[in-house]
Amino acid sequence: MAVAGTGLHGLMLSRVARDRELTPRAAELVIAACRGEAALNRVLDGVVAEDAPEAHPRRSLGAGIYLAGVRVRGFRGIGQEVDLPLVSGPGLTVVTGRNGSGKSSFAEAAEFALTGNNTRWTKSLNEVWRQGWRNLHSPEDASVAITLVRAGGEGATTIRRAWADGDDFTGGTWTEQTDGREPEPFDQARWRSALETYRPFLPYSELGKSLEGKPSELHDAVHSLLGLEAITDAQNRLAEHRKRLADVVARPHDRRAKVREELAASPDGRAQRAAELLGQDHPDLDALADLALGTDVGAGGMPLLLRVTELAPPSAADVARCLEELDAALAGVAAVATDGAQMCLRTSEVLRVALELHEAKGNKSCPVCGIGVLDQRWFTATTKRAETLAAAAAVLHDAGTRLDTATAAARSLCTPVPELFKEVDGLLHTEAVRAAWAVWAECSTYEDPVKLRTDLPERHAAVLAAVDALKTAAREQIDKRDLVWRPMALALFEWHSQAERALADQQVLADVTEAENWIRRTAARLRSERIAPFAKESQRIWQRLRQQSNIDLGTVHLESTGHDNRRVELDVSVDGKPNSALAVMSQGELHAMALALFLPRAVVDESPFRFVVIDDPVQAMDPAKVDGLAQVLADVGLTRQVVVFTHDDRLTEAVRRLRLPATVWEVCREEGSAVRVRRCDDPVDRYLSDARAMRTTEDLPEEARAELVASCCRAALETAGDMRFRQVRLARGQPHAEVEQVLEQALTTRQRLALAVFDDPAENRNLLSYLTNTLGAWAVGVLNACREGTVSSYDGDLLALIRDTERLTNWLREE
Amino acid sequence: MTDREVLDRLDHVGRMLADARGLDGVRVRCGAWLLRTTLERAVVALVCADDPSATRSMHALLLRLPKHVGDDVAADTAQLWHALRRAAHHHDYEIAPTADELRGWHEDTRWLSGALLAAQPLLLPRPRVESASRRHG
Repeated sequence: MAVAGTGLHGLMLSRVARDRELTPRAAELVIAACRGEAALNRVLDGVVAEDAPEAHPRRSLGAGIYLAGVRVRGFRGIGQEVDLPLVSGPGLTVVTGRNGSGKSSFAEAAEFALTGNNTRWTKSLNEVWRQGWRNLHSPEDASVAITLVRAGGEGATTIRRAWADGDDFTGGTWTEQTDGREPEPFDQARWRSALETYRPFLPYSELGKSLEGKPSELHDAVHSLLGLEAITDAQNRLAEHRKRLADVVARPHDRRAKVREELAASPDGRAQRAAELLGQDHPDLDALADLALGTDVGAGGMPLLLRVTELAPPSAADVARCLEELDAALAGVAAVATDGAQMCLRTSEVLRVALELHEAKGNKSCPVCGIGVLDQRWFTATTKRAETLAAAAAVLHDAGTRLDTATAAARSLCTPVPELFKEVDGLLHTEAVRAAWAVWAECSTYEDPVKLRTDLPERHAAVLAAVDALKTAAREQIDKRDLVWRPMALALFEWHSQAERALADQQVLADVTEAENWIRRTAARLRSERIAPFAKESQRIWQRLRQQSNIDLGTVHLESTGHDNRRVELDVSVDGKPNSALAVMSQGELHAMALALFLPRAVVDESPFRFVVIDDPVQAMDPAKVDGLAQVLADVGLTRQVVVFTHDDRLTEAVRRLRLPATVWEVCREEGSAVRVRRCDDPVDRYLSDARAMRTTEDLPEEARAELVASCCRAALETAGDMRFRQVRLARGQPHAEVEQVLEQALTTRQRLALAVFDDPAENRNLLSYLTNTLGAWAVGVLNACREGTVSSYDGDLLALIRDTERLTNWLREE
Repeated sequence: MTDREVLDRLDHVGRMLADARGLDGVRVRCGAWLLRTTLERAVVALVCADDPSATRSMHALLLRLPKHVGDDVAADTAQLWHALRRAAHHHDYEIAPTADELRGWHEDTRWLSGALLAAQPLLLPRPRVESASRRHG
């Protein structure tokens, strides 16, 4: 944003860059906080700041913005459209009008058109205020528009808020139109910061409340005068995050004892373990996570129970397969194991040994029978026979081997009783399963395959049933424990998440706290830096405003020792005695003080606005202060456009009397809310122009017309005389009230002119001769005509009377 | 100093008020001026009737008024005269009165001047004064 970029934002950037002690992360946070909530969130989330909004740099507001006019229709006291033209340049403009003339409607409209806000409306608790914003006499559509020009700029810009029939006050369309271009939607954000920082509107309601409210409100008001809200906002943003983070960081700590207590009270092993973990100074978060998520089932039998559920006795399929093989082997053996086969086997063995003997020893007598001879013939025959016998024996042997294998396989299924049963004994009833399994394991020692085959199925079934029963019991136990554990696990998990976040946020908290403290320190320094010139200017303005007030304004400073303890310290002294209480001030003095505090900000050089709109500053001020005010406003008017709305004519009077350069507009409300704005000249000129207007008024009878013209001329003369007298006396230092008192005692026109000419009411007698000598007889003629004409109708030339009156008033004013 | 003059002036103002759209600042003040002189004439007519050489200072005449009319009428007359004086005269800074104010003053002037003229000791044609609701302001 242009203003923030060159103003506060840039200031903060340069300060951040200069500060060596600030950590980079905290510096980043400070800058982000100054940019706004979104930027701060981005930095806190660790998103690399792409600065998307900065990619479209806003058009600068430019500098030297003046008001060129306010145009209002159907808004508040104003019916049909009416324009308040303003000279867009430095100078004082006073807009005056009676209560209800619509003058304040202009002030409110101007503020509302530009800021979308008006304290009287938006902060009003009373709904009536908000509902009655439409003018009753032109209910269809309403609009407020403000025209701005930039010094050396591209032409006028009109910002308009328009409401169609039925639109709510907060609705309507808001457009911005530069000369020669189409209206575009009003870019509120572009203006907001400048309008907040250098707020060029100061309504009465704010003047009044600014010094009367709570100390903190005054502080904020003065603080906002300093235009440091952006920093306060940044500080508040960081403070909010700091609070949030502190909460996050503290929460696991606060909750730890409670969670731990609950866990410790539970018999569950996991809970016990978790409680133990939580009891450590720095709990092992990973272990806790494992516990909570169930990866670590903890101690206390839970793993045993789980192992029980995972227990896998030989499956029925395995057993069935073994039994099948055993059956087949048994059947094979039964088929070949006849007596002949046995005989064959044995004979074959004998023959094989005999053949070996023959081979080794050659022909020999038979060692078995001792009769026969083992010769070559025997050998041949026996070899043949032995081969036949061996073949027959091999079948039998194979069947035996198969049976052995099958038996071993079956026996191997009968594993010993698992150790687990012993371990789990305390948790579950294992007698049955252990007995069943022991009987089953016994089978492994069986030599007899047939017996094995008989016992195995039955015992296996018994084991399976017992194990299943045990598993069911274990599962029941687990479920029972989980029912207790699950909520605890959830709580533990939640605590764990919090603790992890806290751990992660701990550093962020430190950074944010550092950034916040830095901003606070910097803000305090900036405050005192900024307020110094303001305080000086305020003192200067107060000097002029206070006139006879015995209250002296010393330095102004802001005290802020925390969010709830903010106040403004005004070094006020009464009759030279220090007294910091504002209570000694009157209402008018408070207003004057508020103005003294406000004006310096609105006219600060950095502000893009070269105008100040002040609504009703005069109320409650005494006449002397009004003089001071007029002077202060005219002073400001040398370099700024000052637009003052007032229902109080004393300001106009003071401006005239002090001969301060000012343009005065008068607002009149006529029938049907038709509001008319007209230039209000010098009162003498107005009497004269009234006289001219009355002279040409047609629907008046001749004598009434003459009388009115004469009255106007007389009023013009008296006014010119009074002005001169006031000027002389007040310039001499005579108090206001005394001057007015003298004037009140002069009753006739002649007495008043004598006061003006001789500065002495006693010189009344010499007036006519003095006038004749100095100016000529015509002057006395005018005087007489004016006096007579108001009593009986004047029958001379009215035009000549007006012309001569003008001559005489000019002489009175210039003399 | 006749009743006729008083009534004429009231009628002028009445006509001005009848077409209020043309009433700008000058004409409203013009009307106020007429009302003021109307009231003054009524006061003069009443107070100076038996003493033609009496002062014509309105301040003095208003002070003598209670001798001729009731206290209420005298007080109201003084108040109205000051209001008209403020609206029409004697101030070097000024904000034009509104048409509504003029309307109120017109009613008040009509009523009060009627009351003042009615109190005159010698009366030829008693002026016809409509009874109007009193307005203060």
